[in-house]
Amino acid sequence: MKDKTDANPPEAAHWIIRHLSQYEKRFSIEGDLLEVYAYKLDRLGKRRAQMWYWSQTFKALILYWQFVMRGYLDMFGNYFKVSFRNIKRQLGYSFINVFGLAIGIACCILIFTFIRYEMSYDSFHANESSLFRMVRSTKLPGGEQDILAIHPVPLGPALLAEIPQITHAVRLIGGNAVVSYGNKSFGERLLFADSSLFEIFTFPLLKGDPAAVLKEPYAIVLSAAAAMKYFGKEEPLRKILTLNIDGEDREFLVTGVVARIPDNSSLKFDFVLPYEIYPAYDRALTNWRSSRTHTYVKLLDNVKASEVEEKFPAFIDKYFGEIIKKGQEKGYFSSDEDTWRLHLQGIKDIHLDPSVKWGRERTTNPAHLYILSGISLLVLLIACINFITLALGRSTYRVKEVGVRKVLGAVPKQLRAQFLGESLLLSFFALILGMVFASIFLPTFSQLVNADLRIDYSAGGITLLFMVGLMFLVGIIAGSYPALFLSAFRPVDALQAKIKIGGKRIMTKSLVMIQYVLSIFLIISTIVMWRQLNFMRSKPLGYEKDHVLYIQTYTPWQGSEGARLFKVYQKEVTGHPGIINMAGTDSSFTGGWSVDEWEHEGRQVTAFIYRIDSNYLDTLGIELKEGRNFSEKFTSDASEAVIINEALAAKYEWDSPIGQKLLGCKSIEGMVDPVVIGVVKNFHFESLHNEIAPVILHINPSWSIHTILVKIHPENVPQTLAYLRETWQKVTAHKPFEYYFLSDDVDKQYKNEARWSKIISYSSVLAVLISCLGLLGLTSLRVTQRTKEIGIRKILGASASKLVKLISLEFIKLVSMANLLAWPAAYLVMHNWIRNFAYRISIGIWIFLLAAGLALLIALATVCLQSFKAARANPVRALRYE
Amino acid sequence: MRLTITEQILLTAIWGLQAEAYGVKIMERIHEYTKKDIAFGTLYNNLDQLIKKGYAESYKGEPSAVRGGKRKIYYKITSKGIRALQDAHELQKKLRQDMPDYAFDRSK
Repeated sequence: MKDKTDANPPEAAHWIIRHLSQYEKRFSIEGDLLEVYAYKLDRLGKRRAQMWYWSQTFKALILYWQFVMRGYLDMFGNYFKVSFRNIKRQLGYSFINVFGLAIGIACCILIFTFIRYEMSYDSFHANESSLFRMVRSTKLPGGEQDILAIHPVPLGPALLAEIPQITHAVRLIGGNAVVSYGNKSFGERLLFADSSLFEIFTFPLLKGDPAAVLKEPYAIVLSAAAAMKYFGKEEPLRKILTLNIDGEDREFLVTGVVARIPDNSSLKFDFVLPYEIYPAYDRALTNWRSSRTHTYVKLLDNVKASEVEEKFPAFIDKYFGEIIKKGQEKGYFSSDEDTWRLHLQGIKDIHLDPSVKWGRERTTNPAHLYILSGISLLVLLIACINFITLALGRSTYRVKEVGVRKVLGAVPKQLRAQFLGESLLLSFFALILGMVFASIFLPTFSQLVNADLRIDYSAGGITLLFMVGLMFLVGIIAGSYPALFLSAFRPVDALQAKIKIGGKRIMTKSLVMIQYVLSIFLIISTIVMWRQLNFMRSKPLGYEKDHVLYIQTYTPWQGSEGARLFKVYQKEVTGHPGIINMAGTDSSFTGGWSVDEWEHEGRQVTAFIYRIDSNYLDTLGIELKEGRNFSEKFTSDASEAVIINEALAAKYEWDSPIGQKLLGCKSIEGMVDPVVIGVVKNFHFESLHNEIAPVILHINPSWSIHTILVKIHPENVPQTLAYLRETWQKVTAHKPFEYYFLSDDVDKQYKNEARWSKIISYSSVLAVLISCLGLLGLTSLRVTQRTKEIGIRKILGASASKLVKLISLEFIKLVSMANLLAWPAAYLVMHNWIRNFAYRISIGIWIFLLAAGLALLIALATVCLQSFKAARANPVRALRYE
Repeated sequence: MRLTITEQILLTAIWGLQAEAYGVKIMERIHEYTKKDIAFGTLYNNLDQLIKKGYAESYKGEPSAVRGGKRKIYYKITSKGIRALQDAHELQKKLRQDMPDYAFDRSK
């Protein structure tokens, strides 16, 4: 006899069958199945018998669906029909509901796409996990830390020689040149790089061999855009370009063309030359003192960064030991053991780390990303709250429907499913609509943030999952009130409209309040940000940036060629009515700088040094506070005189700086202890992020003139420019005429802030708009609910204005309370943000009052509109209502 | 309303089985007629339809050990069922008369 369990059919299948069959027939069907099963078991064996049992189960399941769902489908059809009618009857609310939520979702999708883009920097390199940038941190005596991305030139080769885990070291350094081919000639930015650049980074070459392109001595690799610019449709490979580097013409052979570099690359270049070409390379190769080059390394696969970093202390001792000791003696660095450290910074971390100074490309402050994602979530939250409050308000109209459904036999479970399903349906519809909006506005948004964005739902699976989850939550919350509350009524009460929905309406009220708190918070933040940026743009800089253009001379940094060229050019153009003034200098404020440090009475003095000429102060409108300007009359000016700014005078603690000597300053060749002949008022040559640093101005000819500043008349600018260009080409024979406006450069310093504040204020406006929409919907609902009350009041003699006041008061109270909550939060956040700036506005109380006023105004406008309509209506109609 | 072919087969099987007309036996009989297996679910659905239309009746039998102690439901044809079956047979007879044997001779 077989084991007893063998005689039984599969448990699971049996369970399904038992639950599918209707009660009265259950035993019969089970019995039938068991009988046949036993028979099959005998004849065909256990496996076949079990298979048969399962096939019976599946067949039964299919039948069950066909049978049962037929009934359900009718029911669902009715749900859909009723939902649709509801949406149609309250088209305005439905629109506000879904539209507001969709906008919030679209905003969120776009912003998260942007954030993902910002976080994706440099992730396209095939071996990004083993690529690192060398970073140096030094502790200053005050305890501050200086983190730099630039290093001595010999660092790369030394690392390669000393640390076996480092397989490649690539040094990068920028430069300028006039590049010519045939009759085309432009000023360009160059990149000098070690030959393994194309081996370790993923910059695919369209033409040329990655391992060999930079190995030829006079090789040059172009970007596809640069190749197009110079050669058009000609084959660029093996063509010869003439580069004028530092005033010297040299010929280079094009050995490769790089494919388009992705936008999210922190390294960008158009012209790459072998590193050894860099001027004065041989001398730099033994110089461990001056830091000027970027250094990237590739580690062996599977080697951890920390493993390599352990070897750095010994390395630093060997190569930097002496420099550190001297620096500590002089008090440049703190005397701590680990005052000087080297780190490996993963290549993907570069873009989001603004603390490292002197990097190659602009970085993004991660705090901005946090702010932005915070705001987008706030917008979404406001939209969700809208959705919920409106859904709650609208459910009032469903009481009768619930009554009828109950009378017709609906059980609470079904009603709950209906209401939840309906609001889920709406919320998911909003999600789809939001995705559509996001793709419609993507191009505009890409332009706004100046990035090539693509929405990628498959890669952003988490975002999408989050959205779906959120919509689920919103749908459930919005539907829960009618689902749980309405379904519990006694049908008779519901039909006789005895039920008063809401009571104190705490839920709705608090939600509206949260919404207003968030909106007011955003309004305040936006105002503060705009004010700060405007302040920076319009703050008197101490010089006149408007209508001043500067021309690069492309002359050598040493020697007098620049000064000579400037003289000739000045002579040619002076007298033209469009030109007010012109001056020569080594570099414009934004075009480069020389900083030097020296000691004075045990303290370290750091100053920016500019080579100028006697027209400089007039051209830029820099005010002389005391003393005199440089003058041709005093021949000694060139060899011993300097003009300083107030900041430097303060540093030296001079009461009367004129005639004093700058002891210790050896920055200018051939000028020992220069004499101060004048003091200028402080001017903001750097961006307003920084405080004004000490400045030395001199006219010593050992520093070359490299930039020509021209102040032009604001009228007839094109004609003046054409004249300047013509004369320039006549005087220089072949040099490109490249000019920039100083004001553009200054604006560029705040470009990042401007961009961020734009994004942030747009989202804030959106948030405020959505909450207005919500308030509009809510008031009109409220007014409709009180139609009868308004009618009675009117008949009893209430005036329209009294009625408006009656209705408005409720909302005014809400908004006022919201203000009280939003103010401290906004103050804290903005106070922290504004501390980033050296020159900042004060956050005045008026900003808060303005925001409060705005919020109240918006609320009142929406409320009054609705209540006025109700108050003006014929009371008879109001009383007939229902 | 006329009986469908399935209903005819079912009713014929129930009548033929007499006192033994319950699920498994009916199914076996159907297999004999048509050489096809049908699922119990389908069978019981069809039987329900027959009862609803009044062509058959059901009654409960005693539980038996072979079936794990489960009760059987037996089916019995009603007089309405007999009449309907008769109608169906008569129709078929007429149809058959109008269709001589040679019409089915497919060797031609």
